Amino acid sequence: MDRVGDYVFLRDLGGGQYSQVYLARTPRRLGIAAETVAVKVLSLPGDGGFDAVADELSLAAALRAPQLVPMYDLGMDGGTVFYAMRHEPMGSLATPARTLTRRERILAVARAARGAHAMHEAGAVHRGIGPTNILLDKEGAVLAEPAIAHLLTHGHTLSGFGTGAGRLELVDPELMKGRPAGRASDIWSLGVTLHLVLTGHGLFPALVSADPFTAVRIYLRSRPEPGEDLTERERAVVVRALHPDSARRYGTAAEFADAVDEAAGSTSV
Amino acid sequence: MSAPPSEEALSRDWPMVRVHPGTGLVDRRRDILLVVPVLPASQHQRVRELLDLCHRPDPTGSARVDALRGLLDLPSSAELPGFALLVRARHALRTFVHGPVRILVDGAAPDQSSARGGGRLAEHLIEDGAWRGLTITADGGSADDAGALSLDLESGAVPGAGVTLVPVASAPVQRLEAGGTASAPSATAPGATAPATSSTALRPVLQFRTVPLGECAVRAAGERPAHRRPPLPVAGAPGQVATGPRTTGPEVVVEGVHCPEGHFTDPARSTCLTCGTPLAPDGRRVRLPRPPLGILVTDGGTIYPVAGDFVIGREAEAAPDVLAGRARPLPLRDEARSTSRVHARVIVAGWRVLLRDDRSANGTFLSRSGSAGPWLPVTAEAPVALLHGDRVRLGKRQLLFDAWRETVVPQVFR
Repeated sequence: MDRVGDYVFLRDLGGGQYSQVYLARTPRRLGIAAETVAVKVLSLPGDGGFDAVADELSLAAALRAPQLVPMYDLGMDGGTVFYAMRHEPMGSLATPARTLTRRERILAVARAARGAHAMHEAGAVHRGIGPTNILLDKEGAVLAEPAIAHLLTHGHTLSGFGTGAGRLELVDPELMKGRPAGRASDIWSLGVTLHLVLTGHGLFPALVSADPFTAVRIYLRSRPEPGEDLTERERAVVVRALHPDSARRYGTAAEFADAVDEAAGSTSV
Repeated sequence: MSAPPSEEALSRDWPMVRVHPGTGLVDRRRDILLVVPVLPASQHQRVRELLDLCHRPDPTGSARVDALRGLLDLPSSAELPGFALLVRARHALRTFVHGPVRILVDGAAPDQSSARGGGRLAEHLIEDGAWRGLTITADGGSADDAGALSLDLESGAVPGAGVTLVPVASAPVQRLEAGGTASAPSATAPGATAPATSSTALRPVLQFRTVPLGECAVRAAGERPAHRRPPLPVAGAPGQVATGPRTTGPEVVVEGVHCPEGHFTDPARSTCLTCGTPLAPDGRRVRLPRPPLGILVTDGGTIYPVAGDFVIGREAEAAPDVLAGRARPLPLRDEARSTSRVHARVIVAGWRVLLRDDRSANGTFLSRSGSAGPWLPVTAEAPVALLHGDRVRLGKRQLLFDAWRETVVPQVFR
């Protein structure tokens, strides 16, 4: 693929479960100064769900929150849905372009949480929080655009395997009961993300080598086990964000962010 | 894509196509010519669909026109701008006109005796040799082709308000054979007045539609506030039920009882579906929205909460019940195509989750032993109620049904 719509691709920036991201020359019609933008091209057919996607992304983009990646344009070329956003060349928490200190990683999660909070206050759920979707920039980090695959797959499905954004434990088990996504499920994902970026491993060690059937059974029936390599404060934040009773988690992502910032204050490097 | 020989041969017998300058669209490809004299920005997507339809290979010569009539019968056809489509037939041009577009043959409307069919798509058959000039413009547009480019559009899409067709025999110079190189016309054109042959490989500029976001939306629409939603509820806050047993689909109200732990559950059971607590035999029955009854997990790792009916199969998304919104699709595919288009169905009836085969080629099988087998066939006639832990085999794919019992809250979270 070398182009979509009026975006001419310069190079491939990587792919996810349902998408591929390219660096593209900025079309003049956008009227923005940046010479290049990141364009995400979805591999899901766009028929039927496009208006819902436009609705969801317009709402998040209109917030123009400093902790959310700026989005410029959503389009459909043939049946292919694509959207353009600011290119963040410094990588993500999952694949940073340079080695980050522990404190930088903690603060990046806190900023992402504030981005999620801005969305929650505007009535939107992110659904895709994870290390791959926290993008590093000069201010620290921004949260990538909300997940929209569920709007294109005719129904509410949860896909959670692999090691990237689709990691099973990033999905709040409450959602598997068919409960609606909301503040609490994004806070769960933030808690798992914080744990992953601090320890480098997940909270459900038994999932690592399990096949999908076994993994789901384990996941629904085992307790998250925070790693030993956390400070007491960090551990307390993770444990509260992952409480099985969503009413006993942090009430808002902003409260989570405050607690994370506080934990970062006690982290020297 | 290789065109059938007949189409290719027909494409060589075209009159010369001279494009009138304008902002509409003229698209020429193999045996067809599409003219959209007026093209509002809001209709780009519809015209894109029209182009896709016209570009389909059509060995029978009628499939495209049938599809076009089908397109015009849709309610959305009101959004299609006026167009004319010309299809090369053996000794004639078939012309199809929709909306405010005019075809003039030697300056006059086509002979009514050549009309074949009407409705939203007026068709005429214009025999070769019976005319010297054919003009297509918007209704009320100028038929004067003085401004027409002195070029023959051989293929591709260009902007234009109309076309003038001149039969090759009456064109002043011999046309190049199709396949002539781009540099050939200037070498062979005898004079400045003679039209040169051109061929274009331009992409049509109206291939996509976009919605500006964020700062670009502000620039496009001014500081118009975007639509607003109320903030999300906060779990545990007074007066809020942030994670009630709501589902994302339409709610179905069923009769049930509350277990001692407060879960709404199946009254026919002796224990609560959610937590396993024994139910009082004379519990008060209430009617409430049904909670999800479990999840279906595919061997690929996709998880589907079971709150309503599913169609399972290779092309589940295209099943009528899915398109009508009565069921959700659970697509299961594999390289060997071992699953049928519609292979099986899950039907949620009251508190029961029923599975039945849908006359699949390779059958649907159930294993209740907690492992892969022994496998018992599931038929179309006798649906089987799925129980917690059941495995289902469809072709070479498998599903797991998990009725999701509440876990004990671990000590660390108390």
